[in-house]
Amino acid sequence: MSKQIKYLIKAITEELKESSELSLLLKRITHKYIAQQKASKNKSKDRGYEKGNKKPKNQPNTSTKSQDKNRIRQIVEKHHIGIPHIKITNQPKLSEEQKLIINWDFEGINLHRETLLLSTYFQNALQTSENYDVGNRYNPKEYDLNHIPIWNEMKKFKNFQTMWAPICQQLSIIGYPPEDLNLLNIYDVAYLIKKHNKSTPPYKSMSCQRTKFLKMFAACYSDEFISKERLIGREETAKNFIEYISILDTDKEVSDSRWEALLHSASLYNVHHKKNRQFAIELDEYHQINDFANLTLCYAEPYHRILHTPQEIDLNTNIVYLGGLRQEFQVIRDPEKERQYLRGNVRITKKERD
Amino acid sequence: MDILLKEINSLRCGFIGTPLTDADIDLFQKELSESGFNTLPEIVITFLKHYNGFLLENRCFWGINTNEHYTNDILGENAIAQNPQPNNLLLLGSTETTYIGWFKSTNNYSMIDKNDFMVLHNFNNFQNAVRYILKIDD
Repeated sequence: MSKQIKYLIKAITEELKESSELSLLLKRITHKYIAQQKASKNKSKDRGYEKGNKKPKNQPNTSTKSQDKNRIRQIVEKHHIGIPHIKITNQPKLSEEQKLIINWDFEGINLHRETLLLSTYFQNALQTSENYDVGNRYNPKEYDLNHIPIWNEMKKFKNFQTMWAPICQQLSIIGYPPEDLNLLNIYDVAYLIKKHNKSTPPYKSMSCQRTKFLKMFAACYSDEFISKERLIGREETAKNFIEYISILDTDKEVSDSRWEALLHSASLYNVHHKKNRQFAIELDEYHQINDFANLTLCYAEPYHRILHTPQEIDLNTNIVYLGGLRQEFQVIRDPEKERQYLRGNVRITKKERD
Repeated sequence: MDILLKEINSLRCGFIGTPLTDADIDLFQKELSESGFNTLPEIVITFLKHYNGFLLENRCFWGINTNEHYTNDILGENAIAQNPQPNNLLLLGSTETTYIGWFKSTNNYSMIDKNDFMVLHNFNNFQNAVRYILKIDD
């Protein structure tokens, strides 16, 4: 047996062992949290203990819980996949609206119409447009979206920038007065984007960063990703996942049973923000939080979980896929491939090429 | 609720939970209460009796997982998320970046930031919170 194969077998064995240990530690922390909650509930009932007279019987061993957390830290630190996040104090916080914009930019606007908190003025305009023929009263070119207060935050994100013309078009359809743009709120804008998305094929809808990241990942790294997953016995799910990506934002049809298999595989992988969203304000510009450079694909359990538990880890910026703690199960970014993709020269998937 | 159940029935997604009995639910409610968490509201129980958890890509409405693992289990996920308001907030599901949760004090179903538990949006009812998780559009 060659040295390389021996080395790989050792890496696989150790990875699987550590992965099981991490899962076990996470499970133990969960159970200890529950036990602690139970004990603290009992404690509040136990007046004698509150007076400091006796200790409740079921008090969990908190030192062991912290030992479990330390063990996770030790394992993560050993492999140098990132560093614990150091919180910068006195940083301003993002507002709810800014966070909502980050969320919509990342995963799309998934709110049902009924739940959108539309402004009264916009609601009235909508109602009028439903009852009377008001369409095309104004030309789309008459709208300057910069007069919408929240647009100045939204336009920082490329996905929203591309919605300028569709939003103006939708405003024109409902005959909304251009001079009243300053009265629109974030949900009114979301409504207009959703309305546009519904009236157009998926590939012309507002894209989201999650999908864009996955498309670029599949185009640049699918072969490497599949070969790394093969090592650890996940080749089939990796192939399914790449096929799932190729279907996103397209009209491609797949059978129900195939789709179920693809969704199952898709649920095993997460897209992770290397710099956590709550620390977006620490970036030069907070809208960079959803950029390709700040995202990475991650095998969900236990790897994605340990990046957030017990503390936030700033993952190494060059990792684009984390399928294990060892480099053998990770994919490292290749700037040249990414440049080629952005120039439009890289295939989308192996399947499409074939 | 009937409309929501019909909408889910027509979805193509991976169903995770095994059907629950009343006894399973009673036991789980007791476990939640003993653990210091909110017990499940009636509408969630009704939903769980039809669909004990739902998984769509990486968006999940959790259920009652009888195998004692924390993933996709309402109690386990609340524990590992270290829910900061166990007496008031019960987390019920998640996307990659948000939770949906139920606030007992206001009876609100809300979208909550996963990192700092900031409430980003209040849904007008339970059904629309589930629609958000499962990307059921209007």
